Amino acid sequence: MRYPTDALWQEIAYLAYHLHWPLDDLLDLEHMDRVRMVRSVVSLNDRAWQSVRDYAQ
Amino acid sequence: MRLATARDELEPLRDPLVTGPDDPRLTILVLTRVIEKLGDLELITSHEIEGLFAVDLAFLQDFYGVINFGDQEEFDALVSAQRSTRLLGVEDERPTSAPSDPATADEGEAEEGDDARPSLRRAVEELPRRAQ
Repeated sequence: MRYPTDALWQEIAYLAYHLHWPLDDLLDLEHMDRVRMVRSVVSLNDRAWQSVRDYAQ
Repeated sequence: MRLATARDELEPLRDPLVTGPDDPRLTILVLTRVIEKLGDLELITSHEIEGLFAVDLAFLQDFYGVINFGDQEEFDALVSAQRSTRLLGVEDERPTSAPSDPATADEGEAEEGDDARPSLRRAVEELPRRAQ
């Protein structure tokens, strides 16, 4: 029933690293909101890295 | 029941009574945090959740899983499954095949997985009276 604890901490650490939000705010995100945020940050990161690679070529 | 947060799942791990991540008490503590209303109880503590009948606790666990991690289809399936069981004195509205085969009606009761649970649930008919 519960969300895997390790995955929880990984997602929180990932968002904290990229967004610099306080831990309390991240802990209070509902599960699906947190997952959505992680996906959004992943997508933004991918786009940023793609831009870097395009610029380098 | 409200949607759960990471805090709802991590804070109970710090409870001194919880022995580890596989402790079944975690489920009780998580449900205690997220259930905001249960009948007309004014205050929901782990004592109330511990005192629930097993089938009711199982439903709350399923409900927690569906609203937090499931999709609309799973939610609809859970709700319709719940409505189709003979709960708390409500008459069963499902079409039954038993009348067409009365000879096996009695002896098959224990073997039928679907019907075994509703017949168990009939034993908790006191619950709504206590809750009202």
